[in-house]
Amino acid sequence: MEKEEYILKGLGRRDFLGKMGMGLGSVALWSLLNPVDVLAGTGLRGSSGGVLQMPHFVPRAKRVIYLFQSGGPAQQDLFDYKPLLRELNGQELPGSVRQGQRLTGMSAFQNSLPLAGSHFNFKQYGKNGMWVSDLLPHTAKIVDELCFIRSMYTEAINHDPAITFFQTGSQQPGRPSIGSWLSYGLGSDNENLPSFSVLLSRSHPFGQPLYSRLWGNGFLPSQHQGVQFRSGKDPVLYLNNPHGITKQSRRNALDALEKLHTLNEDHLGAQELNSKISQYEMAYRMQTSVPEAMSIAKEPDYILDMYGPEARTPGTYAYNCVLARRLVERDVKFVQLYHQGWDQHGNLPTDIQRQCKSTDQPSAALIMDLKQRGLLEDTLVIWGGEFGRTSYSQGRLTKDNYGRDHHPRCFTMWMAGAGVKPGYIHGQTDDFGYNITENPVHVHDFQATLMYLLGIDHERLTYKFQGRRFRLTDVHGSIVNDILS
Amino acid sequence: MDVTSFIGRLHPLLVHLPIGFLTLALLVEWFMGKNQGKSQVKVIMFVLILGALSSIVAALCGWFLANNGGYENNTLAWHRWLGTSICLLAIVAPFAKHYEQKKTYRLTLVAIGVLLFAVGHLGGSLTHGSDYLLQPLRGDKGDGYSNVPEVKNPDSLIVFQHLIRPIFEQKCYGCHNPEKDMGGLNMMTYEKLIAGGEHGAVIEKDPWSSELIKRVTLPPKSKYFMPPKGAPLDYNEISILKWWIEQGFDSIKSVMQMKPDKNIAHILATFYKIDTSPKTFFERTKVDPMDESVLDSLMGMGWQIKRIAQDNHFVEVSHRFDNPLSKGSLSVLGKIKDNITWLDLSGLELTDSDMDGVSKLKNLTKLHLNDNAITGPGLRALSELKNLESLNLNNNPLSVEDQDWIKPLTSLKRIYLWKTDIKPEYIEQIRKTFPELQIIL
Repeated sequence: MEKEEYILKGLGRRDFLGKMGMGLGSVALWSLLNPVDVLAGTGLRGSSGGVLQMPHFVPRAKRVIYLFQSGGPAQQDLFDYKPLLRELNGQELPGSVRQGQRLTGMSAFQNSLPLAGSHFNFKQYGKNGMWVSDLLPHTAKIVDELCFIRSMYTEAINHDPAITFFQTGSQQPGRPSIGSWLSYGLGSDNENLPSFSVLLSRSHPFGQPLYSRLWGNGFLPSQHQGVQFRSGKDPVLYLNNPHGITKQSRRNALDALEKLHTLNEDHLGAQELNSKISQYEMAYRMQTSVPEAMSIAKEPDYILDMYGPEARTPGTYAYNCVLARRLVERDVKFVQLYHQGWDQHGNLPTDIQRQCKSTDQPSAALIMDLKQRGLLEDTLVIWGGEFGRTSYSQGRLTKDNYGRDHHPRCFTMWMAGAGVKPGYIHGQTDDFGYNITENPVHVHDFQATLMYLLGIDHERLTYKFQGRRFRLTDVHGSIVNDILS
Repeated sequence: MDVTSFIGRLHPLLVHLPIGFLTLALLVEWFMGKNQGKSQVKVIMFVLILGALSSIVAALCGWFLANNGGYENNTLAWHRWLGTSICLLAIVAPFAKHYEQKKTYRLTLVAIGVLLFAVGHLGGSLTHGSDYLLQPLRGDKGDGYSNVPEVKNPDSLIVFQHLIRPIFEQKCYGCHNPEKDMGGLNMMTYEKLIAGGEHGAVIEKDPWSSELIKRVTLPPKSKYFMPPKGAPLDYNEISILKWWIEQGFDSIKSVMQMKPDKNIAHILATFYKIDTSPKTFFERTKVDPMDESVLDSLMGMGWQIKRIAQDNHFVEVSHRFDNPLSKGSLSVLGKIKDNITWLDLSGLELTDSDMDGVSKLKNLTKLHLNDNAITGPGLRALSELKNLESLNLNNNPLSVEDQDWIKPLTSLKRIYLWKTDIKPEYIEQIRKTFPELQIIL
C-alpha cells in the first residue's frame, strides 16, 4: 500500500497516463509494425546517440565553436563601413531613417541624436574587397576565410532578452539553449566529454552579466545542459575526488548509487533519474578526460604565439580559443565561448580598442589553426553579439569621444568553416548603417541555418512540453541559402 | 475600318436566333400534332421562314469570322460545314412543309435538331477552348504544372521531356499536331518543332528572336498572340521556355546540365518542387544498405561507424579513442567498402604498405591519414580514389618528390601537408601543376 501511494505521489497524472496508456500501447504497436527495429537502437552506431538516430540531412558541419561577443559589438567601428557618418558627424539622425523606432531608456530622452562617424579607418581586404576597420588587423588578414552577414537583425533591444533570444530562440527564459538542442538531437561523439561545453572570459572587470541559464537545458533532460569549464586549477568544480578518496572507492560508490537509482527508477519511471545516472558517470569519466583536454602544457610555443600574448593566461579569450580548439579536436560538438565587455555606451573609442586587442588575434588564429589541422572542413565557427549599436552617439559627442546605444535593426556577424561560403559578404545596410537594405537575416534564420549545417531540419527537431511541441526556432526561421557553400 | 471583321464578330450574337427559331419550329410542330388547321400551318411556316433567314445571316457572319483566323483548324472545319448544312436544311424545311413532303420535312427537322447540338458545342469549343465544358468536372486546374512527373531528381529530369512538353501539351498541341499543323507547325515531336512552320524556324539561339517566345509574349489582343484561345502561358512557363532556349534547346539535357539560374531555380523549387541546390557526391550516389551483423562485428573490433544521414547508406568511419587498433584490422573495412565515404585513420602508425587496403574504398570523399608514419611511395596506391575530395596527410614523415600520385585523384580539392618533411620547392611545383588544388600547410 505504501509503495503504491509513493509511486502515485511521485508520478503526475499526465506522466501516469503517458507512460501506462500511450507508452506501453505505442511500444506494443511499434513492435507489431517493426518487429526487428524495436529497441535495436540502429542509427548512430558507435556513439551515445541523440534522439535523432541519424541527422535529417548530410551534415556540413560536425562541430561548432560559437564565439559570442557579449554586449553587442559596434558594427560601424568594425565591419560595416559608413563614410557618410563621418561626413555628417554631429548632425541629427534624420527621422526618415529612424522611422519612429523605439530606443532604450538610456538614449530615448536625449535632446539630440547626433550621428557619430567612426574614429577608426577602414581598408578593403581579400578577394571580395571586404571593408574591415584598423581595429582588427588580424581578422582583416583572413577575410577570405570568412562569411560575413552584415544584415543580421533581432527583436530584442536589451541584453538579457537579446542574448536569451540568440541562445534559445525565445526572449523569455526557460527554453533550451542551442547547444542543448544539438546534444539532445545528435548526442555526443566523445563519451568522455560533455557535448556542450562553455567557456567564459572578459578583458575588463565590468560587463553585462552572464548566467548559467544561457547554456541551460530548459525542459530538455538535464544531461544536455552546457558544462562550464572554469579557468584555473579546477576547470569543473567538484569533479576531483575529495582528499582521501581513491578512484576505486569512488567507482564503488557510484556503482552502489546506480543500483539504488535503478531500483527507484523501476518504481517511478522518472526520466530525471536516468539523467542523474548519466551525469554521475560522465563526471567520473571526466576526472581523467578533462585535465588532459584543458591543459595547454603540451601546446608548442609557435601555436600559442599565433593566439597572441594572452594565450598563456587562463581566463582570457585567447586562452579559451586554444581550449576551444582542443575541445573540438576531441570531438566536442558545441563549444560556446562568451566574451564580455562589448557594451560601449560611452568611451567607445578607448574601450573598443581594448576589446579588439584581446579578441582579434585569437579569433583569427583559431580559424587558421583549425584550418591547418583540417578541422575547419567540418567545424563551423561563429562570431557575433546579441545586437548592434546605434549610428548616433549616446551621451555627448565630442571630438575624441562618443558612445553607442543598443541597436537591434542591423548588425554584423561572421561565420567560417564547414558549409559556409568563404570570402563571402551577405546583406547590406543603408548609408547611415541604421536599416537593412538587402537580404535581412533574422535570429531565427540564423538558428535555422545553423541547424541545417549540422544536418538537422529545424522544423522537425521538437520536444513536447506542457502540451506543446517546442523547437529552437519556435514557429519561424528559414535557411539562408545564399551563404551555404 | 474593317467591316468584314465587324460583321464577323456579330456571329456569336446572331447565331442564337436560328437556334431559337428552329428549336421553336420543332417544338410547335410537336405541340400542334397531326391534323393542323390553316392558321396553325401559317404559324409554323412563319417560324420556319424566320429560322431559314436568320440561319443564312448567321452562317454568312460565321464565314467572315472564320476568315479572320486564329481558330483551331480541325474544329473550325467541322463547325463551318455542319453549320452551313443546318443553314441549307433550314432553307429546305419551309419548302418541304409547303409542298407537304412529309417524309422529307420530318427528316429535315430531326436532322436540324441533332445538328444544332453538335454545331453549338463545336462553336463553344472554338471560343472557350475544347476543355471548357468538361474541365470543371475533372477537377484539374488546367495548367502545365500538374503534368510534372514524380521524378524530382534534377539530374535525371530532362528539361524538354519533363518541363517543356507538358507546357506544349496544355497550350499548343491542340492546333500544332500532325493532323492539324496550323501555320505548318507540328510541335508534337522535337524534330518537327525544330524544323519550324511555313515561315521557317520558330526557335532561334536568342529567345527574344524566337517566334515561339515572341508569340506568347505579345499583347493578348494581337492577332498573332498564342495561344489564340484558352489560358495564355504564365510567367513561370515563359521563363522555363526562355531558359530552355537560352541553354541551347537541347532535347536530352537534364535540369542540372542546363544550369538553372537563381530565377529558374526558384520557379523549379516553388512550382515544380524540384530542388536544384548543388549536391555532393554522397548525396547524388546511392549505395546498398550494409549487413547489420557485419556492422556489429566491425564495431566490436573498435571501429566507430555512423550513417551520415537518414535515407543515405554512406557511413563515416573512425576508431575509438580508447581502443587503438592493430593495423591488421584495416582490411576488414573491405566488407563495407562501397559504403565508406568519410574515413578517419589518424594516429594508427600506418605506413606506406597499408595504403593498398585504403585504395579499395572507391567511394571515399574525405580521408584522414594524419599522424601516421607514411613516407610517400604508398600514396600511389590511392590512385583508385576517383571521388576523393579532401586528403589529410598532416604530421607524416612525407618526403615525396614527384607529383604522379596526385594526377589520378581527379576530384581532389584540398590536401593537408602541415608538419610533413616536404620541401617548399616541391609544394610550389604542386601549386603550379594543379592550380585548382588547395594546399594547406
